[in-house]
Amino acid sequence: MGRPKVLIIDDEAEFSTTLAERLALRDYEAIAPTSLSQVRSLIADELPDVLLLDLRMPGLNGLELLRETKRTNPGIEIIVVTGQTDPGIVTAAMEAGAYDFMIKPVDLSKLMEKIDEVTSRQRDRQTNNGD
Amino acid sequence: MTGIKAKLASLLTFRDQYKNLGVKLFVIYGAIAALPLACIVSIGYFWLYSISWEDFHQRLQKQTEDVSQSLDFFLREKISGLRLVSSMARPEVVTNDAALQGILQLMKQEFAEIVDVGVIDSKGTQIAYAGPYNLKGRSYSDHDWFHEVSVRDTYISEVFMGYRKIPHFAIAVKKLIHGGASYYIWRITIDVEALNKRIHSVSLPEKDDVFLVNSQGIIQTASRLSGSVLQPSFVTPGMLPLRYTTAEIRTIPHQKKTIGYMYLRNTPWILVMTTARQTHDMIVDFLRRDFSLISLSVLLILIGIVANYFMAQMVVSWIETSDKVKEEALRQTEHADKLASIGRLAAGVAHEINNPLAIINEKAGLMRDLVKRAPDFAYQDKFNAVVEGILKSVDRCRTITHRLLGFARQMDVMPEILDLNTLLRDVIGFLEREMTYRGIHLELELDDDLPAIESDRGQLQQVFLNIVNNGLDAVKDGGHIGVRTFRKDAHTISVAIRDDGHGIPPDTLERIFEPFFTTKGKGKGTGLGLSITYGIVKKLGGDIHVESELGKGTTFIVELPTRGFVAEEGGE
Repeated sequence: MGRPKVLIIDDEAEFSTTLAERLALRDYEAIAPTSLSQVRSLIADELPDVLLLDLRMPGLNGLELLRETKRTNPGIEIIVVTGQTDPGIVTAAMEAGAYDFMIKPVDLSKLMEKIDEVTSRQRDRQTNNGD
Repeated sequence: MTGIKAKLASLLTFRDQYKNLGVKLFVIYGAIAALPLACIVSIGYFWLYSISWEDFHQRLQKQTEDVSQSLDFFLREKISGLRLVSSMARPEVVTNDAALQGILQLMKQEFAEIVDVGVIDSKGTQIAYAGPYNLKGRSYSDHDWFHEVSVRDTYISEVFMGYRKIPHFAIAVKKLIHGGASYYIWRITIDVEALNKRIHSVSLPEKDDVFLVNSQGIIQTASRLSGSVLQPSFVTPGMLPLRYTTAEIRTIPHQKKTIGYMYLRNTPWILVMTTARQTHDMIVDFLRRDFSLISLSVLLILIGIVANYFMAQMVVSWIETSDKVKEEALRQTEHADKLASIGRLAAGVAHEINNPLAIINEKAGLMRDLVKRAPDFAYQDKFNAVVEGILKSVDRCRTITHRLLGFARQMDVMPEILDLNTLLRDVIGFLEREMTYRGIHLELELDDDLPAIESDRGQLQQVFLNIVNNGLDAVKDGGHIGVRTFRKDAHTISVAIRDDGHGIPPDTLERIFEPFFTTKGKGKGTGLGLSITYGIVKKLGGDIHVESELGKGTTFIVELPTRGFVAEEGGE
């Protein structure tokens, strides 16, 4: 397995693209679409290891997308990165299968720790499956 | 502010309103109780009055009739005696004074009041006389009584003085002689004293009187109050209609007396009994006799008044308590609403700021990343310092918004296990800037061995923020704020927040937790802070009290149960 593939879904393109760039500098394969119109097919095409997902976006229900993705591609781990802290929505996201929950603005090193955590787990799982 | 003032004013007038309500209840209950009582008393009084009136009249009537009967008997006796004498007397007696004298003596033995006796012939000449005066040969032919007795056989005269200057009256009877062809008239005179004795044989109360008058109202017998014999009395001619068989009762308003009267048959006299007593005198007498009844009634009325007073007080206090409970509930709801809307606002703001903050964060981070990859960049150190500055500011903003979100999240009651010391540090962190600006020294004495408690984080933050804020308002720049935590007992943790500010005067201290009570200037405080604080602490099953000394400072002590809150919540 090569570099971890991270897909960042956020309506704030300024945020997502910059974050992607920084992750790329740190040897991650990071993709941040500037338009969210094709987001479902993008997920299906790219099949990232980790999905960084905002919950509140215009025209897109993050929570629904989360559930859908976990159903269609349970292998993709999802970390919610949002400015929203309503306890109800946090709980809902965790119940829907999110790996973790981070409030913006996030500390990059902490985010990377999480991504690494997720990918190493995925790697373990694959290794185990391979046995 | 005007709204708050109006509320304060209405709170003040509430006290008067309760007082008024108490008075109204007292009066209304009193009236309700008094009305039937008054009816019963009135009915009782009128009933008693009518009975007394009847009794009074009957007694007067009876007395009058008794005296009348006695007089009647007395006069009949005299008339019968005289008739008997006239019938039995031998014919020569009428011409023989000595024999007549003998008869007078005999009669006097029976009736000492007889003064004299005379015989008058049909021509009106007194042909025989026995007595102390020389009246023999006197002619009565032109006297009215002579004619009357000739017709009616019997005659009783009015009282007169006559020649003797002693009031007396005469009784005359006709005696037929010669087989009815002619007649003599026998006549005796009697001292009025005889009548007086008869009349006054009944014992009378002091203000009562009994006497005879003639039809002209001239007094005939001794009277205590109405004048002397042969003087006019208050009775005027025609005033008293004829009554023979029964006594009649009259009230004489301008004399304030009641009279009973009767005409005496075959006499010119009217018997008059007067009394100054009134019906209500009888009632007073009656009540005086039954003094215990009156005392009992008065006692019962007094008990009623006292009971009524206490009942009114009790009802008012019930109403007041229920109003207070309602008010408190309303206040709590208002506070909760207010806090909830503040919370929503804070959450909205924090969320909106978080997004641009994240962009700044990433952009600055990228800048640093890029510069790191250009080692020959001349201003690398300077550039890194600038970016570091940006990131630090972002970090500060993040702390603030996260804390705001923390507050916002806690508006609903959410019990959780929490560490009080950490919570206090959080709260103080929020106020740290102000303290630093003002040079206020913070002294933290947090007991590290405190157990975790089960309580509501947000509400507790609100409580301590409020108290510390109050402390900050009280101290001068450069003053001291102390926060100490300690275990009070196995189930209670205490937090003491102390300042060395101006202190609180005792009268203010008493009202410090009252809603809308503020000593801060106009527009500065709502006067709700400490009352909300108090409400929250109580809701969390804790307690709060305050100690203060003027000029030395104030200490708020919050006591929280380690588990009590949950138990209380569960019980609701």
